[in-house]
Amino acid sequence: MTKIQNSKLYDLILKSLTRYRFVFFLLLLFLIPISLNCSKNELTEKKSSEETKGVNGKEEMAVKIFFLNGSQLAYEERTISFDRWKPSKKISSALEELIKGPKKEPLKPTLPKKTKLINVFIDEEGVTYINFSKDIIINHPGGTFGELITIYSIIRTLTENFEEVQAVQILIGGKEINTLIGHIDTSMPFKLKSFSETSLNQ
Amino acid sequence: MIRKKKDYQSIFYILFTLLVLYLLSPELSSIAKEEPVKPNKKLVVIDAGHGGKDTGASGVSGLTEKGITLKLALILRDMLIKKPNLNVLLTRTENIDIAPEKRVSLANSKSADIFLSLHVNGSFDPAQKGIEIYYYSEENLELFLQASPGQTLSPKAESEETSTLISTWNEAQNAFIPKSLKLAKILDDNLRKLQDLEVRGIRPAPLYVLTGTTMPSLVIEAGFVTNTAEESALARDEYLKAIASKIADGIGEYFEE
Repeated sequence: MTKIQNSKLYDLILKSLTRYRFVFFLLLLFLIPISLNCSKNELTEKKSSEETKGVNGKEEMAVKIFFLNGSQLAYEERTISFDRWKPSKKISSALEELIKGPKKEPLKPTLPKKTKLINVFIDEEGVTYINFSKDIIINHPGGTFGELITIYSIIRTLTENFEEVQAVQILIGGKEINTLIGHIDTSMPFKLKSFSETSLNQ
Repeated sequence: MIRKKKDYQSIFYILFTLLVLYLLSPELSSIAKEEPVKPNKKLVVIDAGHGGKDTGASGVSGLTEKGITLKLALILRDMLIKKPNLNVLLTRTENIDIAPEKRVSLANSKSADIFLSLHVNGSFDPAQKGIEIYYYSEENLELFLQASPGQTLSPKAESEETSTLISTWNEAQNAFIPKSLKLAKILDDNLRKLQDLEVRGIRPAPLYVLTGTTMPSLVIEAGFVTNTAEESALARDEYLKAIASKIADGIGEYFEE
């Protein structure tokens, strides 16, 4: 009796296995990448304390944001969160932090608080286009020093945090402009590393 | 018969030369009026930054950069013109807006020996104060080379003569950077002789108004209008005169060497 029941049960399992093999196959397909992804994330978490895994595809990153400190620049650390699948979002998040200005004295802002960042895009050669609204000009204090600090803080913030950024082109309302307020040439992209060090460390 | 024909011919030639001379004469006289020929004199072009709609930086009390730069330019011109070996030309003598390219091309077309662009500084930090001197920096040059890989990079090896003849607008100043820096150092030394005035030093920057100049060129930031103490100082003629006299001394010294 039990033998017959047992063989029936085996038959049933075998039948269902063959009938639903497609479903099993699909389940496997889903499970493998998930398990792989978990181990990968654990690895990157261990590797760098700066980048941490968030929830729902959100990623967090510790960044250095450069503000005015006397006649030089100094940074404050901030944590930005961005969509893992949209890498240009981390650049715009960092720039939004720059626009917010510093939290602690004696640091001073380098961009007008009313500045609106319209969008950011990066091409395959690493030239990063930063598109601001006109407010960056209207509310700017001007002067060669003022303009240099604005541009320098943008460049330094991007170079320090994002390896993929090779050059920065500032746009106002989607267009290249000769200068922000009449001093520093912004018509061409700024090549980052060469521009950075010499300008302010006199 | 033949003789008559010759007479007509000679009369025609005389009339023709007279006509040409007549047409040329106003041109000649206007050139002479504008720039009396003074051999061995050096020409200094002074550029009062901003102007017209372009007010530049402004202070709490409403003092504007365009106004200060024009005042300073006029004071400096009056001082330099007294020196026997100098001619002076201003890019603007009134409150008008001029494109940077026009300011530069004026200096280039008159073959100026020095181009000085006068400005007033600004900062988000109201504590920032003092005078700064800027010279053109070629830091951005690598990018131009990226754009056209056929070019070779040797701006310092380039001679001034070839630079003025064939160089592009963006590269024109490169050959003059050493001389610009020399002038900057002399002006910086002279300005440091003033008491109660902070001199912040010399800095390189890709300045738009110096791009394309074919002579030693500098931007002088005469102080921060965003600093209340310096704003009230910049409103005083005596203060501007003190700065102008040191700049004038420096220019004189530069040409003596």
